[in-house]
Amino acid sequence: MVLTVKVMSEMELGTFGSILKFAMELENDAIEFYKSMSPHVSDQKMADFFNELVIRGEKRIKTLERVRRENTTEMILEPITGFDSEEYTLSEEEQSSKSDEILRKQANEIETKLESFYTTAAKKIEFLSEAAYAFELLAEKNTETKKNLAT
Amino acid sequence: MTVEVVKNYINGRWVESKAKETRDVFNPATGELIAKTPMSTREETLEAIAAAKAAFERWRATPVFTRTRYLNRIRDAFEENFEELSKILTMEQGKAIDEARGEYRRTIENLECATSVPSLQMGYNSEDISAGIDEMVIKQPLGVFFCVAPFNFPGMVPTWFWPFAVGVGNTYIVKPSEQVPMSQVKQFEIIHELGLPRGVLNMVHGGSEAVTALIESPDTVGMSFVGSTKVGKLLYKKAGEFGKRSQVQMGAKNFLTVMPDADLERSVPAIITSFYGCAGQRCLAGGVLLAVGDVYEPLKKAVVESAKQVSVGYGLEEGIQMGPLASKQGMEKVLNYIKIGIDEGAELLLDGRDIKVEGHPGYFVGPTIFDKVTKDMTIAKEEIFGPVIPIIHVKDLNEAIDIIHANPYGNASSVFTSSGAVARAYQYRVKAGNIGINVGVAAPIATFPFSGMKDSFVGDLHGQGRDAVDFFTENKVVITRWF
Repeated sequence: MVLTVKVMSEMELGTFGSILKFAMELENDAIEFYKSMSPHVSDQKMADFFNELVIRGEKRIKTLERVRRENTTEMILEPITGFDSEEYTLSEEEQSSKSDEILRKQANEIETKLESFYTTAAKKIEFLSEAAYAFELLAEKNTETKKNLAT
Repeated sequence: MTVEVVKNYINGRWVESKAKETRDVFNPATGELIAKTPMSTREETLEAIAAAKAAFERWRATPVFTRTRYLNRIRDAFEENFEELSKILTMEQGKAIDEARGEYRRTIENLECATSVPSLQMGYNSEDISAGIDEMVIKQPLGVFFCVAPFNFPGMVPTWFWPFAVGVGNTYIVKPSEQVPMSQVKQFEIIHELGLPRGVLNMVHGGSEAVTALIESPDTVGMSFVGSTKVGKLLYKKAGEFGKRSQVQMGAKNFLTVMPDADLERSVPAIITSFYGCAGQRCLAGGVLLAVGDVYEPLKKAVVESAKQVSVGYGLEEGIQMGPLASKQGMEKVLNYIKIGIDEGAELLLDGRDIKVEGHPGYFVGPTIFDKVTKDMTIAKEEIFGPVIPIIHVKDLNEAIDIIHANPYGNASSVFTSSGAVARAYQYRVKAGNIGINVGVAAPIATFPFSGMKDSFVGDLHGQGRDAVDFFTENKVVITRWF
C-alpha cells in the first residue's frame, strides 16, 4: 500500500497544539466581539460587563499560553481524533446598531460555544490532567458569564 | 543571500571562528540554507578550555544558592522565550512544533531539577568511626566538563548535563551538533543577557578537531556524549586513555511488545507516537513491534489505520504530527533501510517513500510499516532512526524477550498489557535501561537518570538527576581527630 500524505483539514484538531491555537483564536474572536459591541450597548452595567469580558479574555489567553508551555510532554504527545473546530467557530458580527437584547443573546451564544468547546476539549485531552483541569475551569467561567448575562 | 556563520561563545563573549571549514545548516522541511557551522580549530577550543579553567576556582567558591539563582534566572528567561526557542528548534531540526515545545518543557525541567543542588550536593558523615575520630564525605566539583550533543534533541540534551555541572560548581563547554547549532546559539544569547560570570559556560561549534582537543586537553576532567554507538565507543576509549571520566549515551533499537490482553484502543496511539514521534529520530523511539500471539492481526490492522492518519508536513504548521527527517543524509539512510527491508523479503504494508508535502520540498518520509519481519532481517536489528515500524509476530513473552536480548542495544523497551504479572516480569527480565509499561516513550524526567544498557550506554553514571550530581562531583573523604 502506497501512502498518500494525509492533509489536515483546517477544521481538524488533531494535536494538543492545534487545540490550544484554536482556543486562543476563539478567545480573540470573543474579545473582538465584546470590544466592538460594548460602545453599542445602551445599558451601562452591561457595557461595563462587556469591557470586563475583554480583560477576562486577555487573561484567558495568557492562561492558555501557560497551559501550552507547561503541559506538552514528550511521553504523551499522542494523536487526538474525532475533534474538529467547525461547530465551535464564532460567526462574524456586523458592527451595526443592535438592541441590548440581541447583543445579550449573541454574547450568550459565544459563551455557550466556548463552554461547549472547553468541555469537549477537556475530555479529549484528559491524559494531560493539568491541561484538562484548566479547560474545565475555563468552561466553568463561561457558565458563570452566561448566568451574569441573564441577570 | 548571505548566511550567517554561527559564533562561538567563549569567556562571556561572542567570538567569530577563524575556521576555514564550515558545515551548511538546512531547514529540513524546506531545504533552505539557514546557517553555517564553523568547524572550530584546536586553538579556538583550547581558548574555551582556558576560559573555563580560569573561571573555575572563583565559581566553585561562589555560594551554592548564588549559583543556583543563576539557574533560576536562566529557567525564567527560557520560559519567557519559550515559543521562539521552540520555533527555532523546529526550523533547524524539523520536528513538529508540539514536539519542540515538549523538548523545551524537558529542558526547563532539567534546569528546575538542577536548582535542587543545594540539597543534592550535600555529603554525609559519621561520628566516632574510631575513638574520637569522625569521617565525612564532601561532594566537590572537579573543574572543566564538556558535552558533545546530538542532532535529535539539540535544545534539551545539553541540559541533561551542564545545569548540574555548573550548579555544583564546575565550569562547562557545550559542543552542539554541527548539524543543528541554532538552538544552542539562541539559548546562549538568552544566557548572555543574564550576567553569568565569564567563562563559567562556553560554547564551541565544530566537529572532530574540537572534540579531540576537548578530550586530550589536560585541563578538562570529563565528557558527556550523546550520539551514535560507533562514535560513542571511540570517544569513550579515547576519554579513558586521557583519564577523563565519561558518560556516553549511544544508539538504540527499542522493542515494543504487545500482549494479547493489551488495551489496543489506548495502546495504539502510544505505539504510533513512539515510532513516528520526531519522525522516529528519538533514541527512545520504537524500533520493532513485537506482536504476541492473537493480538497480531487486530494490532496490525489498528496500527496501519492509525499510521495512515498521521499528518505529515512542516512542523511549524500547527496540527502537523510528523515533520521531516533532520537531514538529507538521514532521509537517504531511512530510504535505504526500506529498500533493504523489501529486498530481504519483508512485506511492505504502508510505504512512506514517495510522500509529497505541498510547498515543502524537504526530507520527508511518511509513516512506513513492514509485516512478516523476522528477527534476522536488517530492519529488525539495526537502528533505522526514521518512521518505520517492522512488525514481528511472536508466540509468547519468552520469545519476545529472547529477540530483545539477542539485540546488542539496550536503551529502552516497552510492554503493553493488562497483566501486572507480565508487567512485573518485563521490568524484571528485560535488559534495557528505560522500561515502559503501557508507555511508548519511556523518557525519564529530570529527577531520574536517563538510563541505558549494553551497546546503548558506556560509563557508570547517567545524565540527569542524582546521577548527574554524582558524575560532576568527587566524593572527598575527610577523617578528623582533634587533640
